Amino acid sequence: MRICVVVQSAAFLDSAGARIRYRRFAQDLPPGVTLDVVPIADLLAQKQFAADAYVFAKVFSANALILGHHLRAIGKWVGHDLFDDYFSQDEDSRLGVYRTWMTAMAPCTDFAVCTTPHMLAVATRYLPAARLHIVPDPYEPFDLPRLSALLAAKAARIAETRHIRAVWFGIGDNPFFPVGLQDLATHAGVLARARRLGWTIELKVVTNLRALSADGLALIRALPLPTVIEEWSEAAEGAALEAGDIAFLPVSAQSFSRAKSLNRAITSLCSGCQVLSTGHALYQALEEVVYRSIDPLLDDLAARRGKLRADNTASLMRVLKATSDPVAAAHAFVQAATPERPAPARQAGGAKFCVVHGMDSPSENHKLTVRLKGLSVRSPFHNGRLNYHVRFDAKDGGYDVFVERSLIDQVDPGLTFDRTHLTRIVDSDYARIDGETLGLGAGHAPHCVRADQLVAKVAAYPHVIAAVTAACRRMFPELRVVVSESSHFALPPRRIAAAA
Amino acid sequence: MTRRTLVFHTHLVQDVTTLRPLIRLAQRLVEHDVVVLCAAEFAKHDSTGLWREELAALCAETSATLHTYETPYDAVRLLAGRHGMIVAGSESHLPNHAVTHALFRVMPPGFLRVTLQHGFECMGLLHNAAHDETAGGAVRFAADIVVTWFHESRLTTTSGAERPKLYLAGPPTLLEPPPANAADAHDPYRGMVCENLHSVRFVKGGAARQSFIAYFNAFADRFRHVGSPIHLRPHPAGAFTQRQGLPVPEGVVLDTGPFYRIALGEFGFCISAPSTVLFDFVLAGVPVAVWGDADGRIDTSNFSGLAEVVTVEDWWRFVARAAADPQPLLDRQAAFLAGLGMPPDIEDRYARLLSLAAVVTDETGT
Repeated sequence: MRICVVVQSAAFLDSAGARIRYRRFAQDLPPGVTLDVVPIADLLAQKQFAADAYVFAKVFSANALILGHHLRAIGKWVGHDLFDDYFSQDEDSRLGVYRTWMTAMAPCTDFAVCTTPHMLAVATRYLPAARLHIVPDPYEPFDLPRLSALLAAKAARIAETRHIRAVWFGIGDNPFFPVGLQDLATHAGVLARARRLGWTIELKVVTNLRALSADGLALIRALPLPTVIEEWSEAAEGAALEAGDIAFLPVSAQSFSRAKSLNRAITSLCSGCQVLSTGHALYQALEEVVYRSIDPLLDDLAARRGKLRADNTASLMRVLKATSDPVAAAHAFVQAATPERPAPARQAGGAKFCVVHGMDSPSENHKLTVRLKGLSVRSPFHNGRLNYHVRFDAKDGGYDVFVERSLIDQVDPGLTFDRTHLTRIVDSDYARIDGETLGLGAGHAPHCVRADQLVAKVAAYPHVIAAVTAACRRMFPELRVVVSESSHFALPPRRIAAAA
Repeated sequence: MTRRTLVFHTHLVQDVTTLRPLIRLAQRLVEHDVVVLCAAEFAKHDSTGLWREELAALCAETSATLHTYETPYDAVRLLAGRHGMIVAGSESHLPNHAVTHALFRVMPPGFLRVTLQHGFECMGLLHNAAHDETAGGAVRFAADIVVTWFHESRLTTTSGAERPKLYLAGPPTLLEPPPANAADAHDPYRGMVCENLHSVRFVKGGAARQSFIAYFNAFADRFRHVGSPIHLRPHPAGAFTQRQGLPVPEGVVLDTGPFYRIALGEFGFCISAPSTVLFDFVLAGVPVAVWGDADGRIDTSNFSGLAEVVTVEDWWRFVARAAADPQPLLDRQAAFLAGLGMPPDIEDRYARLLSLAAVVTDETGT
C-alpha cells in the first residue's frame, strides 16, 4: 500500500502542518505501508502515478482539480486532508474559490480526513458521498523522565519567585480572518490580571515574520504586559516552550478557529508548559490538564500543584493517549486511505474528463488537460489562443459551440448537427453546433459575456458556466466535467441554485 | 535595564532640515545615546544623494549613530533593549507620512513618540483650502506629543481629539543663529523666488501652475537689466523645476542646496506662493510677497498681513518698494509674526521636551 500526500510546494514540507502531521505519521505506519509527501509540481512532472491513494492537503488550485479527476479515472483512491475551515463561510465572497474548488472535487473524492469533529461537519456538506474520518494530529514522542525533571524545576522556581514566563506562539495572522495576534490582543488582559494579584509576568511572542507587520506590531505594542518578540522557527518555538511556564492559547469562536486541531496545546504540554486557554473551549478534550481561567492556575502555581506536574504525568499521558496517540493516528490515517471496498474502476481508453476553462485558467492547465487525456473546453469567458477540443463562443444573440474534428464521432449520437462542414479556428478544424441545440441561447446574456465590463461578465457567469457544463455533459455523457477557475469574481453556480 | 536613547527619525528629505537644530541641541544637552533612524524609503526621495550626505555629516558632527531600516519590525529589532524618546520630522495618518506613522504605531511602549510641526502650513495643524480638500479636517497622529510653532489658537485645523497632544515650542529654526552674511553682501535687488509647483496647492490650483511659470519667466526677463541675480529655489522634495526639466531663464541662479546654509540676510526680497520659505525670510527680516493666482484658486489666507502679488507688474512694484523703503513692509511682517503666538523661550521649551526622554521608564504599564 502506497499513500501519496499531495502538497502545494516544497516549502510546505517544512511548515507546521506537514511537520506535525505527516512526519509523525511516518514514524508509526503499519508494516507494508509507505507514505510520501510530494509537491504537486513534482507529481505532475512524473509520467506514472504509482501510489494507491492520493491525499490532497491544502492544494486548492485548478491543476489539483484536474489531477484529482485524472487519478480517479485511472483507478486511484482520491482523498483530502482538511485542516482549515475555509468552506463554511457562505456569506464571504473572498472564500468563493475554496467553496467552488471543494464542490468541483466532490465527484472524484472517495474519502477525507479531518482533525476535528467540527471540520468533519463542514466537510460533510461538500462531500456527502465520501467516507469521512477524524484523524487527530499526533503528539511528538518525548522523554518522560526529562519532562518530569523540567516540570519540577519550573514549579520550584515559580513558587519561589512568583515570576511567570508566558509564551504565545504560532501563525500570527491570516489573510481572511482576525486570528493569531488578534486573539492574543483580545485576551491578554487575562495575563495582566496576574500582576494585580501580586505576580510578575512577562510574555514571549513567537510568530511568523509576515504577522510582524505594522498592524501586528501595533497589537503587540498595546499588550498590557512586558513583551518580547521572536521570529518563528521550529527551534525558537521549542526553546520558548522549554523556558516558558505558561502557554497562553486564547481562541475566538469564529468558524475558522472552532475547526482548529488541538496541536498547539498538545505541543505546549509535551514541552512542559501549563496551558491557559481562554475564549472558545477548543481544548475541552484536554480539560484534565488545561486551565480555562488564570485564578486557579495562579493558585495552583503558588501551591506547586499545577495540573501538569512532575508527580502527575499520568494525567498527561492519559489525555494524550485518548486524543492524539501517534500509533492510533497513523493507523487511522492509513485506514482512511485504504478502503475495504475495491479501488475505483479504471476508465476505458479515450477522453476521461472535460476541463472547462473559466475566467482565469492558466494555459498550463490546458496543456495538463491534454497530457492527461482530458478534453480542454473553452468557456466563452476564457481568452486563451489555444487549440481547445471544444469551444463555446458567444456571438450576437446566442452561442456557437465548436467540436474539434477528431472528437466529432464521440459526441452523443442523439445530437443533430452538421458533422461534415468544418471551420478553422487557431490551428484546428471544428464542426459547429448551434448553442440552442445544447440549451445555450439569448437567455444566457451573450452581450454580457462579450462586454468589456467585468461587472457584466460577473453577472452572467454563474448561469453561463452552469449551461456550459450541462452542455458538455449532454455532448459527452460519460465524462465528468471540471471547471478550472482561479478568479475571485467567479461565483459558483451552486450559490445561485441555492438562492433560487 | 534597557539603554536610554533619543531617536530622531527621518523619512522625507525635508525632515533633515526640520530635525537638524534639534539633533544639534540634543548633542549639547543630552547625555544618553542619540540615534538617527532613517527609513529605507528616504533614498527614493533623495535622487541626488545630497540629503543622505547631509544626514551623515550631521551624525558625524553630533556623534549620533545613523541606522537605516527597511520594515517596522527591523526598526523594532534595532531599538530592542532601548527606551526613551523618538522624534520625527513629520508624522500623521496621511499617505505621505505612512512610513513614519507605521513606525510610531509599533514603537515599543518604552518610547515617547514626538512629531514636529514641519512647516508654516502643516498637515493636521494648519491647512490651506487645498490641504482641506485633500486630507479633510480630521488628521490624526500616532505621536504622543505634537510640537507646534504657534499658539494653538492659530492652528485652526487641529482636530479636537489631537489637541491635548499639542506642545508649543516654536520654530526649531530659531534654535540656531542664521548663517552670517558675507561682508557687504546685502543687495536690495538680490531676490529669491521659490517654487513649490509640485504642491497640492498647485495640483488643485487649475491654471495656477502655468500662470506662475509665465509670470516668473517674464519677471526674470525684465530683471536681467537690473544687474542683480535672481535665485530660483525649487522645493527640496518637490524639485518640480528639475524633474520637469523647466528651462531656467538666463541670469537666474538655480538654488538647490540646504536652506540652512543660505545667509537669507543677503537677499533684498523673496517672492513665493504660500510656503514656509516666506516665514523663514520674515524671520530673517527680509521683505516677502505672497504670490496668488488671478483666479483665486491658491489659498493665501494663512499669510494674510503680508504683501501679496499676482501679475508681473505686481512683482515689479513690490521689488521697487522693498528696495526703496523696506521698513513699512518689515513693520507689517513684524505685526504678522507677533500675531502667531510664538513663545519667546524656544530653546528652553525644546530642552524641556528633550528632557522628557530622561523620565520615560522602560516598564510597560497596565
